[in-house]
Amino acid sequence: MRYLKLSISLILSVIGLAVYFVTVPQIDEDELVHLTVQAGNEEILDDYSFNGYIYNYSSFSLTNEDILVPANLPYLEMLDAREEMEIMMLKETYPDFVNKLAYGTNTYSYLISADEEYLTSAHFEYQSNVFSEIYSKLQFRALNKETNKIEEDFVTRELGSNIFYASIVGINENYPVVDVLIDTRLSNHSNENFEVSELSLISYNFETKNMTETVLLKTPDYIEPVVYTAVHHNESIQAFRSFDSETSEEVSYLVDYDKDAIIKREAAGERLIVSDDSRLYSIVDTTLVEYDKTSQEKVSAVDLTMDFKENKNMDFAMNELFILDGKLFVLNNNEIEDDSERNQIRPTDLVVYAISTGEILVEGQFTYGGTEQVGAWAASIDQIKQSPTKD
Amino acid sequence: MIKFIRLLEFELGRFLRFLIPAIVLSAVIQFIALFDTITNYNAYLKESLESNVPMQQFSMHDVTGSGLFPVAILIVPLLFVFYSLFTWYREWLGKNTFIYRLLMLPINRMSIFFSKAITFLIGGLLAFLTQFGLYAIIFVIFENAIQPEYFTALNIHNVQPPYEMIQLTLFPTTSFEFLHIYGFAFAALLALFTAILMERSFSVKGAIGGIIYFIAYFVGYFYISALNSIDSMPWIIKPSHIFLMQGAYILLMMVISALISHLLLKNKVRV
Repeated sequence: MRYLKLSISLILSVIGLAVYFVTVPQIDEDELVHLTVQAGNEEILDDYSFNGYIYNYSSFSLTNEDILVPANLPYLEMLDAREEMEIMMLKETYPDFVNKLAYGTNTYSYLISADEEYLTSAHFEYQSNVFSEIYSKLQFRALNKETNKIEEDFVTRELGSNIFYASIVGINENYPVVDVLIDTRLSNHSNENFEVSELSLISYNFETKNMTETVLLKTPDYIEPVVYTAVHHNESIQAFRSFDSETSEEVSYLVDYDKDAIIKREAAGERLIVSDDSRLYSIVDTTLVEYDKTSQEKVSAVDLTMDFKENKNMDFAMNELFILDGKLFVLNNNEIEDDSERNQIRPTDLVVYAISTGEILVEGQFTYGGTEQVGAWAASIDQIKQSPTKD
Repeated sequence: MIKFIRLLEFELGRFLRFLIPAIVLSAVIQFIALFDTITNYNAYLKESLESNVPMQQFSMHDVTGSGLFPVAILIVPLLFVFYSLFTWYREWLGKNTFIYRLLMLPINRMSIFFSKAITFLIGGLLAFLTQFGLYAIIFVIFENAIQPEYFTALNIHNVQPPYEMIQLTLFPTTSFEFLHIYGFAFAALLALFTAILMERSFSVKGAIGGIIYFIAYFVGYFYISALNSIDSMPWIIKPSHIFLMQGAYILLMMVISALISHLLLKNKVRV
């Protein structure tokens, strides 16, 4: 037969390619994450979205109506997707303001403050390879949602040559003033292997163009925000944690944007939570305590009902805690403990408490399906927010 | 057209004489890696049972992640690199100066160029799909060799450890990525063919020009890839924009390479 090699090769190629692409795994979005309410009133969860990550596959955002999985979007949209769903929502509504932050060629370490009237942001403008220059140029931007007008201003900070890292870790806006917190890591002049963390509060006024910088804290230990999120909602206080290398204990800090002050919390073993209405709570063991504005006086304390099923790991230090609308959300991401379980993606437990009484309102579990098809090895939910609504 | 197909059949036959042994050699090494992993598993199982230590899970990553396996996979791409040079130079430097007969054929000289290029395309697809089939066979053997409670089933498209170069570059999981990656390689092949024809046309000067042209292809591509990290860029460039620009660049370079090669084959190439 003529052209035998060519014919066979082409037939094999066409059939093989078809088989290859037909067998490419696709996670069915409805199967990917499933919330089962085991007890309580499931309607309580209707107003919230849960953001998480299927490791090695995709982030996701789950509401009671649908699920958004960037990896399953059309290819070009998938390339442009950002992990934080709130950024994606803001990008849709305010592309001119958000695109520069999300895709800017020289934008580094940005945070956005979102309230009803303004979107405000701060980021470093990356135009140099010298650390002290990268972290000295700070850009503030503000978008008036009503007029759609964007204001942009640069400020320059005085930095020494011993800086080797900085990131913006907090933002609070009270237009025309915007406050940002910057965590700066410095090498110690006397010992280059020794680092110092400096937490600075920078206030910028869009009208007077004045900038002030105050160092709130200097510590040899790393300090990090309790909640990582790129979009803040004008909480007037923000919690941080650090690990005291001398006492080997976790230390909590509280930054009060109204007073431009930082407060070190002395209570050992507590977890600080700032609610969506800027109230301060802490959890020690199974007691939820609310503090007043000074963060020193207790306003109330309730014992949380802890009737979890056996074998559930309720070590609070491992959990994600949120207080929204007077409810405490506890997310327990069960990580695999050893290599013998590496094919199992454990469920995430969810418990919702009424903070006024401590009783359990809802108990549920997120389960993950089809994940072995895409080689995923872990999953977690790390953020709860009010369900995103387009303005 | 018939003459072109006959030429293509001829070129493919020549290439398969190299490709099939390379695929067989690669397969043999992959099976050695497979049986090595199974032997290790059996030894580990025995040790765990004796010492009462919990067994870890085994998956295809244990086979494909072993040292021999990536070497086996890379044999075929290396053959393609070698043969892309060999396919032209054999015509001039081999016995009987075969290029003379090729250029005297009563067809458009670009048929020679395209028959060689399409041979690589078909050979590439065959190699790609043979490897995919080998994964399926190795998967079944490994699954049957491991006790089910210690076996993690993976999709055939995830048998390479994630984020490894082999997985990312050779086995894309979307048709867009497939076209992009293999299109990039095909355009590089055409650029190399053009560089070879430059050298065959203008000797040393052509060789220098050809090397510059070939390197320029990669420089251009990676410049586009880095557009969204250039500090002075005044526009917002999204990742999707980069992807589309890269695609357009690949197509453009294919056309430019074909045009230059056409001019060289028609007017300048020396026998």
